[in-house]
Amino acid sequence: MHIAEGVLPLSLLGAGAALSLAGTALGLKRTRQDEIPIAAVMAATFFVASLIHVPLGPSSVHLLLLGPVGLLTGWACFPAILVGLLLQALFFQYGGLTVLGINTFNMALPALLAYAACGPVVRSRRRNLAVAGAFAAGSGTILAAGVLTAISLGLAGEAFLPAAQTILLAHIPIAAVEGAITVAVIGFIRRVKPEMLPTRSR
Amino acid sequence: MACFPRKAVPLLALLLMWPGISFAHGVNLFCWAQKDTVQCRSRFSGGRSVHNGTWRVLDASTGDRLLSGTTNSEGRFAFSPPQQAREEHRDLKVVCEASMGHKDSWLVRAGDYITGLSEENREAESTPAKTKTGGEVAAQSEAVREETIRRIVRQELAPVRRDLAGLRETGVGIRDVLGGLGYILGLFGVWALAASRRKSQ
Repeated sequence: MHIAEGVLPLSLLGAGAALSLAGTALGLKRTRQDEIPIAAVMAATFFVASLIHVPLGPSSVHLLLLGPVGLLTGWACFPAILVGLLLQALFFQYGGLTVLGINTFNMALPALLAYAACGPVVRSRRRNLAVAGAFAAGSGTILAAGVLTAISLGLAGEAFLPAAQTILLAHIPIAAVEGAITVAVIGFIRRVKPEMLPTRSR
Repeated sequence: MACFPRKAVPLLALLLMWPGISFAHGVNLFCWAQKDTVQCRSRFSGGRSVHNGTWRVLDASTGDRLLSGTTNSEGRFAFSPPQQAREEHRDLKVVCEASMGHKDSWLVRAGDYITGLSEENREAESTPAKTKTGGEVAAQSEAVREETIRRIVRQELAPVRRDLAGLRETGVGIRDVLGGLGYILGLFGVWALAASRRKSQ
């Protein structure tokens, strides 16, 4: 899912960087002081989750945990994912510094959408609804990030449909796993500390 | 808190049993010249081969595509540099790509794949003498000997260079993980500090 350096044209890198910068600025502005520790924990989770990966076809996919990151941080997912990706690029050589912007956007946008769409659902009193919402957030973010990555590669000249097909096929198993992990995480938080879940005030 | 360990067990078990857990990502390419062909090996940094990845050979100076193909199941491929590239002493840039934007490249210098290139250069540099004196003949045979030694050393060192390239692939260690977590703590600490100052003002 991390696009490597030297694959995308300069215009796309610039657009990605601008969008991520705007998202990060909004994230920094809209995050309350008491929400910063959660954002830090989720950034750390995102940073480490990428080390667990599974070989598939010619490439490999790894956990991203965008669902929990989005649901628990809201707008702060932009700074959290930006920091996570920056440190992954520096320490693990994933992606790279020039593609940091576009990679951040491709992962943070689905996380933010999951927060907007599934946030109210996972707080629902009906347990089944909450489970469905958490699963949709966990798996949907992975597939959406895959589509955005395919669009980025498509704009860079790689044939869109085969790229999208490869990426989506490779990510279906991981989407299912991420959905299950998100259900487990959200279920645990609902029981132990429900106030961590998204509220309307954010 | 009492329910925490019980809840965490299935998750932990899932992560530990996850097939093929490895601690790296991204493609590493290594190429070495062997006689007239260039051998290449591509791997994900976790050690797994890049199966069915695509490779291209480009002219390093112009970027023109000279050759292309796919890697075998062991992530290996070999090519014979085109005649034109040989004649013009072109450096070659080998690019290996596994889908989803993972790729790496390796520069093969003309001197690596053209046997006797440095010897030819030396001859071209020296003034063309119609009749060679005894000293010139001795110098030339000295040059030939030197080139032979060079070639043997290059061939003998190929596995060492391969191993050195392998060291580059050692992947992620606990130090990287802890370092990254430390940075996250620090960066978000700075953010929290700034937020608290803003609030108090």
